[in-house]
Amino acid sequence: MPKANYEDVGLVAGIEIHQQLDTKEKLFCHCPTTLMDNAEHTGEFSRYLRATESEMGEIDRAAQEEMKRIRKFRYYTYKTTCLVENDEEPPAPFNEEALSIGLTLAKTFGMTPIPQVHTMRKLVIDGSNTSGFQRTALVAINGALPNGGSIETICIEEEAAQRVKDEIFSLDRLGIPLVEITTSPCMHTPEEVQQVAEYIGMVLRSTGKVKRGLGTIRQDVNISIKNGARVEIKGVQELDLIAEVVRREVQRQQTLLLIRDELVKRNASVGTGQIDVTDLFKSTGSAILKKAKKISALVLPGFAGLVGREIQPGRRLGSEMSDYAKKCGVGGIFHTDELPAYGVTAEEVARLREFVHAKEQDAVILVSGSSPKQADCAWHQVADRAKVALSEKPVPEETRKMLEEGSTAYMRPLPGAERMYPETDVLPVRIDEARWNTVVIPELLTVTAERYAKDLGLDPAVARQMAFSEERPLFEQAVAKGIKPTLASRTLLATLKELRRDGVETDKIPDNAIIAVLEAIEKGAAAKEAIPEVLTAIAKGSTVKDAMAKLAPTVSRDELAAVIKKIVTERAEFVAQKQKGALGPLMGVVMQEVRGSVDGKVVSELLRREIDLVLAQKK
Amino acid sequence: MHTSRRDAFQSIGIPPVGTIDYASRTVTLSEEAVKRGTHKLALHDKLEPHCALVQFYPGMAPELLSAYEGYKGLVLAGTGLGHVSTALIPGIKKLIAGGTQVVMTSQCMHGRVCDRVYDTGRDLLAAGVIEGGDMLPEVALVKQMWVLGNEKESRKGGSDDGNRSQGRVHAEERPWTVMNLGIRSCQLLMENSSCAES
Repeated sequence: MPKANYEDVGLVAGIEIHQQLDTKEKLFCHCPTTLMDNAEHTGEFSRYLRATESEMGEIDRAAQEEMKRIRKFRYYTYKTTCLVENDEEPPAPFNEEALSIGLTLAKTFGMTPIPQVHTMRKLVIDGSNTSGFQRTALVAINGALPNGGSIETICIEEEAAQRVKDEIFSLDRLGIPLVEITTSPCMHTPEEVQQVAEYIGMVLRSTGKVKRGLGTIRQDVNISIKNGARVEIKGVQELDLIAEVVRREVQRQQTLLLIRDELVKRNASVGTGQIDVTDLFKSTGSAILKKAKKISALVLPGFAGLVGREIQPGRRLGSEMSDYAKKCGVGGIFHTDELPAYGVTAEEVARLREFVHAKEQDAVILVSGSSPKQADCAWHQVADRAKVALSEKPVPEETRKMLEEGSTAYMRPLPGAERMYPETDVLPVRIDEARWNTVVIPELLTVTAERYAKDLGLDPAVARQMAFSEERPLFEQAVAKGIKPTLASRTLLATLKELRRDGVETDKIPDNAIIAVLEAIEKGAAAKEAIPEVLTAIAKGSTVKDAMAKLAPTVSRDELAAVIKKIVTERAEFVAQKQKGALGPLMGVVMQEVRGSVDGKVVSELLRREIDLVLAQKK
Repeated sequence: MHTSRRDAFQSIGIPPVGTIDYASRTVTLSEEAVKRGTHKLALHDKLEPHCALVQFYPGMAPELLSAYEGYKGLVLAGTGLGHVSTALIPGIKKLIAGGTQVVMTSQCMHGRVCDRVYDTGRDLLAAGVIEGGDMLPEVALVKQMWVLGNEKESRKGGSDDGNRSQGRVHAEERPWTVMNLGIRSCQLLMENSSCAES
């Protein structure tokens, strides 16, 4: 496998970040932006999707590819979705809250806003949109990145419907506002791509208006190398994988270039005739071939050993051909580099080679279809992909999807410009100077972390964790109410996490309840020790008042003094025996008596004084 | 919604306020139903009498609109998404300029108006017509009479926000939640009482 020196390789990469916005309503209707449990769907309907011609009378090549099969898509509806998601009602006006977040980001990146924001329709007929298009609006252009690169555009778009399984989609996610941030092709190493993605992610979170959690942010990476081609890898969800995805794509493109050179050296070619070999496999042990209505063979002279050559971990040139064939609905292909296997015997392979007149240096591909038409379609797809492999440009321009661990599979050709056309049902929105001037740039989380360390005295690591935490607004609120930053950060970062680990549903604790509990502790009305128990009770549905009364009843200083006096008096002998060493054991007795209502420090202070007093009297 | 059938009074575009199980005689109210006694009611019975409802039909003479000059409000029952002939637009503009609030509704029973899809609709919005959401024309008329009779400054302008802030338009259309029970007039009463409180 070739080793990459990324400068020599000529790596150029750019990223597109899609981040869900935490708005109250969806982008083009008034439904909430909450995700639902699929089991809660209240209805379903189905649609066939077809590509429409663009204004120029052309059909987008990516859409064309998706139309190779007629597919019936099914959609789940919910109590929280409406006719807009169904594409049975015109869109509501552009969501102002989403637009404002877009403008905030634009200003933060030093961008120029678009004076009139026009919504466009982007043709998508893979089933993820009921309408067959995704609405998107360009909001701002030309931003700056710390690596010297630039952000080309910021768009606000609709989130697509989520695939439940196969051709079933869930409408709860459709229409959630997304911000799409597209950088210029300004990155040259895998690590740089990851750093830029991390930086943009940090800025996004600095707004405090983005959704958090897996699936709420997705990165698309655009990669090309010298003599390779631009490839867009969609849906990288984990930030940590970005660099690996880039490394593997460079490896894939490099290997495809090497395979091409080898093919040219061997004077390889692609067979022109589709050979019907259905009868050869009449009584095969392969279940797939046995039930096929038609099996076609493609001879690839000079390809032997190269179809099975690994181009990425777990991926071979054969996998690429298989992906293309799958667009016709077949499950995959067989090729002689991996046969005999999958129930196909050595004798069958020998018979096949003989039947199609394949020589030792030739590879043979088998495609099987549940109909002759399907087999024809798949055969042509494989032949086309094989021709590309030995062509001048052996890396096709593609949209690819990420597989686990960072390898990728073919999805469709890169879309052309034909797929965009105006959305006439949404009125343009004017961004005038007055509006732009009211946009406030948020404090970046890196700055927030420094501030927490410097001004609030938090440990730098805790400060960073607090700044980047989802609980940041609550922390700020607590500190503003006079709660000690260390108490607030410990509760929000550590205590809540521990409770979650113990199975407490911390989501059910209202923010104001946490504040109320912390305030009580700050005032001395309860002890820190009571926090976990009190919060657990609140999570289980108790009110703050009840939880505090039950688990941390208020004990005045006088009452506490009386309790301590009683305990010390009752154990006078023990005190006389242990002298000052009685403090520790008696601490436990007192704390148990007053439960979580008093701070341990106060108890220890009063108890020590009482013991000293008793000991002094004894003398 | 039918001249004679048993479900003649079924509600349109809104789920029933409650369902009755005949066998057990139990009434299950919807979560949105407002129960008697939970709200302090105040009587705001002032209605603006100079409001009218006009049904559009193909070939309608534009001059018919001039009969409503000087009216405080006019509800139009348009076609489909909420349209009238473009020939009527100058007359509508004139009415609005003269201080008449014009609200567009649809002759369709189900669905909401949207005047942002076709040019005629956009021209109506530019003229100052307010989209009436999913209100039936008669309902829009009664609400308009109440609003103009009680609100100090009637909201004008064609924005969706304007409609929503009047609080009587259902924001989402979920026909699959509609069942064959429910009392629309009751809903109307509740809406007015909550409005009276605010």
